[in-house]
Amino acid sequence: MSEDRVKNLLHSAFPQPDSQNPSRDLWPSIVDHIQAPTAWSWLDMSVVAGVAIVLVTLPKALLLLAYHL
Amino acid sequence: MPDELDGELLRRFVRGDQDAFESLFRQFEIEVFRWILRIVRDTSTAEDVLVEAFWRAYRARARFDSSRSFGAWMRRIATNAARDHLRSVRPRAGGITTSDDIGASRSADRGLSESVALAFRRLPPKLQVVATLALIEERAYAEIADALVLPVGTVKSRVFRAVRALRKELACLGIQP
Repeated sequence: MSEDRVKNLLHSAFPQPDSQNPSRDLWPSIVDHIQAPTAWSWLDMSVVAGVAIVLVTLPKALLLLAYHL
Repeated sequence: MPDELDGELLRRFVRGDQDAFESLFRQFEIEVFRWILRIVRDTSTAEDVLVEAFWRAYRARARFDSSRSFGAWMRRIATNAARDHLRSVRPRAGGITTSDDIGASRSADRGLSESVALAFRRLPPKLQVVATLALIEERAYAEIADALVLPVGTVKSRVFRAVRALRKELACLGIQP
């Protein structure tokens, strides 16, 4: 199968979509994303919990943490 | 893409000014939408991917260098978002139509087109993206390379691999040209 044959098959399989523009104003959807509260993942909460435990058990680790921040 | 942008507008965007972001969105929406549509081939899907792409751009605004082209940066983000979409909807091998099923309808052009589309959607998304842009949309390799942040040679190589993989997929579906 030549590359031209492949091109022809793909052109037939994937015709140009009828509409070249969005069907609606998409800005409100983006604003919704921006204003949505940030969800904390399990990983985020695990890291926070881990740091808190280390600081409670080893208070001097705060100096190390401050150094790295 | 229109990229004669006011530097102050870009700096405001980087600082998180929502009005500046909306202004950029209004200027680039159509161009980015059409770029995404070239890859995903469906209007409704392109709208969803566009929202995702601009949302990603907003989250990554602090990393944008306002002395660079916003259009090129946005196109790269849009390409990645479209590729991620293709990855999420890629047909699994178990759900594929067998060659017997295809064979029954292959005589009709529509059946052939559906088989080709199915085989194409089974390719790895990174190959789908370059093959769509190079073979269907016939965009220049340099333009594709810029959108994917890849060397032109890598784009050529992926097109070659996509054609080879597509031939193999079509053969699996019992289609011999």
